[in-house]
Amino acid sequence: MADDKTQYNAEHLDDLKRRAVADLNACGAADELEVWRARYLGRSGALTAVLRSLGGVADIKERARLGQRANQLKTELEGELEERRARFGAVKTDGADANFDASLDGTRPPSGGYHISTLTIRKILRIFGEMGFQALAGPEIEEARYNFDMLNIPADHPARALMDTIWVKGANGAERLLRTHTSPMQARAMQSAPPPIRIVAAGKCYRHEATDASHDWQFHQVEGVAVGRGITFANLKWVLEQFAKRMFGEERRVRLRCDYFPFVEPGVDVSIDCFICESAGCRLCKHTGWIEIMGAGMTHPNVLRGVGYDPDEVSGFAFGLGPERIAMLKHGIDDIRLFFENDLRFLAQFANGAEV
Amino acid sequence: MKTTVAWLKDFVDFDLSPSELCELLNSLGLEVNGASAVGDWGDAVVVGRVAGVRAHPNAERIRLARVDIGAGAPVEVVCGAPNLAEGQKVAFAKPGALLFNPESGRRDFKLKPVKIRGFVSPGMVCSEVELGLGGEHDGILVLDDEPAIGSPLQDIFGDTVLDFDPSPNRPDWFSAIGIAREIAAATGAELRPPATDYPERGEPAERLAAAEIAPSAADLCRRYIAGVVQNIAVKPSPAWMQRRLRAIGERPINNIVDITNYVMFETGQPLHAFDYDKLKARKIVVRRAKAGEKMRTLDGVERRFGGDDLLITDDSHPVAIGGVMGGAESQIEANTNAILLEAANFHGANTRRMSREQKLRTEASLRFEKNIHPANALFGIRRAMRLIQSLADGVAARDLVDFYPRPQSPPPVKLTRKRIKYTLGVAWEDKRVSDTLTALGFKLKSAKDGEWDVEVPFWRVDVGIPEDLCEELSRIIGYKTIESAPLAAPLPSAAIARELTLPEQTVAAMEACVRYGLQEVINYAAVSREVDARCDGDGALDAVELVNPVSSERALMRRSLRGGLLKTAGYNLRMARDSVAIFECGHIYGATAADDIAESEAVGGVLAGARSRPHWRQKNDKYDFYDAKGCVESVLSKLNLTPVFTRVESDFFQPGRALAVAAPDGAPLGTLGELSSAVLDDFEIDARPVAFFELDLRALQLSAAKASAGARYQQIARVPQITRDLSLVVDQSVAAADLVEIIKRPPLIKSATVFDLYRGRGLPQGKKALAVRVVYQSPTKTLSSGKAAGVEQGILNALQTKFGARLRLDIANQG
Repeated sequence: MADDKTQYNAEHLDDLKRRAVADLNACGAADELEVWRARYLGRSGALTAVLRSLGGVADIKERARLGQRANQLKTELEGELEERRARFGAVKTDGADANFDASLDGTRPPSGGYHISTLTIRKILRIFGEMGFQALAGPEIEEARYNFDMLNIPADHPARALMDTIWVKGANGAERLLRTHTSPMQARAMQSAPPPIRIVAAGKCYRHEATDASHDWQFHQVEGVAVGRGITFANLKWVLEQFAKRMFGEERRVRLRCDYFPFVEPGVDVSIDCFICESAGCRLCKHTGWIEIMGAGMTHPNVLRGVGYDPDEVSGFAFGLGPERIAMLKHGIDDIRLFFENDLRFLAQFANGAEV
Repeated sequence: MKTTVAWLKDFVDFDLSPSELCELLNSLGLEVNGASAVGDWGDAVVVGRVAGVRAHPNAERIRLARVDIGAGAPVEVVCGAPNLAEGQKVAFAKPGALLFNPESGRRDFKLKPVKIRGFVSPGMVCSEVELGLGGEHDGILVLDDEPAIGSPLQDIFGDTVLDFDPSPNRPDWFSAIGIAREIAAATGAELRPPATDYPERGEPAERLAAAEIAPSAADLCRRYIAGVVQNIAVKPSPAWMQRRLRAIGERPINNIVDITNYVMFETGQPLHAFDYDKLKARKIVVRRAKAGEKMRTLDGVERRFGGDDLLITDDSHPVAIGGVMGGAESQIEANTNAILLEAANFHGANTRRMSREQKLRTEASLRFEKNIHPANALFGIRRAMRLIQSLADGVAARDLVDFYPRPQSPPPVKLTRKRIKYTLGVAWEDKRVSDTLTALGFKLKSAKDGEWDVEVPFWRVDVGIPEDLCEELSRIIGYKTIESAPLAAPLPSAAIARELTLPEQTVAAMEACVRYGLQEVINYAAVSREVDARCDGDGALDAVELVNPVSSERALMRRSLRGGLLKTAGYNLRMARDSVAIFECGHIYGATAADDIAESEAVGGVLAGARSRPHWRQKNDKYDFYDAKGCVESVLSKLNLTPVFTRVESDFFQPGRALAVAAPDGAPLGTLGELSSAVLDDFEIDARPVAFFELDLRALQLSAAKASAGARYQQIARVPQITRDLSLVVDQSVAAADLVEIIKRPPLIKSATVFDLYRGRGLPQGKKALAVRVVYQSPTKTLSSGKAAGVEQGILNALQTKFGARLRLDIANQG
C-alpha cells in the first residue's frame, strides 16, 4: 500500500483498474460485492485513496487529468458494481422483494435467567429497600449462640425442639450448626453497629425434617429488623401492610394473629386476604379466606440486652418470611421440592420474567 | 392436644359454631388443626327400647329384636349380638344412617334394609363400633335408662372434637380448662373451674405414706404430692368419661387410670396412680437413677437408666420414670384395693431428654416438657381425688403428703400506661386494660393512675415482663384496634459491619452469567461422601461433616459447586435436553486443620450440548472450552478485572484443556476447562465436550475492590484510529495469546484481536493461519497510514524472529 506521499500516475490507475475488474469478476455473491466495494470504493478504499491524494499533485494540469481519469474510473466501477448487484439479486434500492420471508423467527441472543428463589428474594429485598432496609448476608454454618442463645432461646428452651437442628462435627469449642433460620442475622447486625438499625437479610436455612410437598430440609428465609427510638407495634403493622400491598397488590388487607417466637414479644403471624378468591374461600387459602405469609413481632428485651442495646431506650421489630412459600403462592407451584431439583423445564418458566 | 366442645362447655358457656370457635381460638394464638364432628347422625339414629326378643326362624345364632322407637309400632330387626336383652335401651339406626365402615376407617357406610335368611331387617341395633364411637367389643351399645325413647342419639353423643397445636410456651393450652379460660376472656363469659373439694374421711395421709425428693435430685423435681385412697372398686369408668376419652383418641382402661388421664386433659397436670399395696415401703423417694438400674414400664418394655434419669422409687426399687411413664410392677389391676396418687412437677428439659432417649413420648412428658408451674399439681390432684372418690367409691385419706421445699411465686409484673404506648403505639383506657387482664386471671393492684402491679396466675408461666402483658392486651382486645403508623424513625447509619453487607460483586457476577445465556440453578449445600471425594478430594480444606445429616446423600457440606452442578447438568441432559447452560452462585464450606470453619462463596457453571436453540440463521455448533473461558472473561470484565490464565493439568479436566484463572495481581480466582471423560462417566453424562468453570467470589470481591478503587477516568482520544488486518502463518504449536502479546507491545497499538483461525488446505504441513485485527491509535494526533505501516513492519519483524511468522498475502493490506 502506498503512503500519503505517493505520487500517483496514470500507470497506477491502469493497474488499479486491472486489479479491481479482476477482483470484481471473481465475486460470486452479493456479500462478496460488498467486500469489494469497501476495498475499492469505500472510505478507505484504494480508489478513494487516489482521489484523496490528488490534492498533493503539484502540476495543475496533471492534477486535472488524473482527477478526470480517476473519476471516470470511479463511475465505471460503480456501473459495473450496480450491474452485478442486479445480477446477484441484491438490489440496493428500496422496493419489494417477493422472496423475502418475514415470517422466519427473529434472531435473539441466548437467554439465561435467574432461579425463581433468587427472583423472589430480590423482589422482597427491593420492597424493603424502598422502606430503608439495608440488605445483608451472613454465614450458613452458624454458632449456636447466634442461632439460639442470643435470640432468647437458651439451651433448655422447648422452642429448640421445634427446630430440628442439623449439627456440625468438630465444633472446635463453639457449638456449630446449620442455621435453622435467618434470625441470627438480627443479633449479628445489631452487634455490629449501634442503633438505629434497619436491615433485611436473605439466605439458605436448614432443618432436619422429612421432606414432602411443603417441606424441604433446605430453604431460604428473609429476615428483617428495625430498632431505634420510639419504634412501636403500630410501625411494624404499617411495614407489614406496605409489604403486603407491594408484593401482592394494592388492595391487599393484612390480618395479625397472636403467635409465638421466643425472640419477639408480642409475636404475630401475618396473613393477607386471599388474592385468588378475594376471601370467598378456595383451595389456596384452605377455605379460610386468608393466607399466612410471614411471622413478626416486637424484638424481645432479652435480645436487645444481649447485643448491648438498652430496651428502655430503644425498641424495635423483626419479621421473617420464606421466599419459596411466597413464590409458591404467587405462581401456583404445588411442591417445594421443585425448587432444588433444578429441572430446567421448571426454572425456565420463571427465568425470563421481570422480578416475580 | 385434643378436647371436645362439650368438654369446654363444662367450664364456659358460649354460643359459637365450631368454625367460629376455631376462628376465635386461632386469632388468640391457639392454632386449631381441625374440628371433626362425632355422633352427627341427625335423626337417623334414635334411642330405642328392646320390647321383645325371639329366635330367627332360619338361623341359630341370629335373633330378632322388636324395638320400640317412639313413633308408631315397634320394628323388628335382625341382631347377632349376644348381649341383646329385653328391656334394654339401645341405639337404633334407621335406613339411611351413616355408620362406621371398617374398610375405609370412616363413617361412610349407608344403612339399607337387608334381607338376612329370608327376613328383611328395616334397621339395626348398633354397637359403639358401628356408631363410630370407637370401642372394641362386638356387643350392642346399652344406654342407661335416662334418654327418652325416640329421641335422636346425637343429642346425647353428638360432640365436636378439636385438635390443637399449642405453642410450647403455653402449657395451660394443654388443658381443657386453659382453653375454656381463653374463650371466657375473649367473649366476656364467666369461667366455671371444675370442683376440687372432696370428703376426706380416711386416716391422715402422712400416716399412710411418706414422700421426699432426694437433695441430689432437687434440681429435677420441684414438688411431689401424694394422695391415698383406700377401699376402692376398680371397674370400668362411666360411659360419659369413656366417650370423651375415646373422642380424643385415648383408650379407656379402668376407672382409676381413666380418671388420671381425664384429669390430665382437663387440668394439664399429669398424674400417676400406684397400687398402694405393691409399694414396698409406703414411701416415695424421688432420686437420680443409679448407673445400670432397670425397670419394666407399663408398655412392657424393660428399660435401663443412669446419669440424669429421674426415677420414682419406693425407697428401694424404681416404680416410675419421673414425668414419663409408670412401672409395670405397681400398676392398677382389677383387684387393687388402695392407691397412691402422684401429682408432681418435673424439670422440663430433663423430661424431654429422657423421653427422647427412651423413645417414649407420652402425654405426661409432653406436658412436663413445657415447664408447668408446681402449683398446678395441687389443682390436678384435688380434682382427681374428687373424681376417684365419686366414681371408684373409696375412702380418701385426710390431707395430702406434699413435699415442696421451695415454693415458687414469681414477683408481680410492673405495667404502665406509658409502657403500653412505648411497645404497642396505642393508648387504651385504663379500665379496658385492667378488665382484659382480670378476665385472663391476672390480679391487678393500682397504687397510681396508669400504673399496675400485676400478679401472674400460676398457669401463666409464659408471662414475666410488661411486653408479655402487652401481648395479652393486643391479642384479646384485637390487633385491628392498633392503628398502623408509618415508620418515621431516622434512617440507620452505614456502620453495619462490612462483612455482613450483601456483596455487589456477587450480584454482578450472577448478572454476567445470565447475560452470557446461563440459567441459574440452586443445589443442596450438602453432598454425599462419594461426590465430595470425586470432586474435591484434593481440596486444601477438609470437608465439614454433619453430625445428623438428613441422609447419607447429604453427609458433608460441599467444598465446591462441582458436585451439584454436574448432577443437575446430568439430570437435565438425561431429561431429553440437547443442551444445558447453567450456573450456580452459593456458599461453599471447608474445615481448617484446626477445625475452624471457612465459609466462602463461589460462582460456577456447566455448558454442554448445542450452543444455541435451533435457528435458521445459526450454525450448529456445541459449547466447548472457549465458552467456559468466555463466561469467566465476561464475569471478570463485569468487575473491571483482566484475567490472567495459566495452563494447568488435573484429572478433573481433559489434558491440555484446563486453565487456572488469576487476578492481575496474581491472586488465584478459580479454574475452567473441559471435563475429563472419567468425571463425566461418574456423573452419567454422555455429552462431549462439557465445559466447566468455577470462581471463588470472596477472592473475586477482594480483587474487584482493589481494581475499582483504582479506576480513574481516561481521556478519550478525539482523533481517528487506523485499523489494519494481519494474516499470519505460524507453527501449530504457537499460542495465539503469545502472538497477540508481541503485537500489542508498541505504544501506538490500541488493541489486537484474533478474528480468524485457519488450518488445512493451502497451508504448509504443521502450520496454521491466524488473522489479527490491529487498531492503531495515537492519543493526540491523526496517524498517517505511513506511520502505521512502519509500526506494522516492526511488529512483523519481531514475529518473524520470535515465531518464524510469515505474512499470508492479504489483498487488504496491499495497494
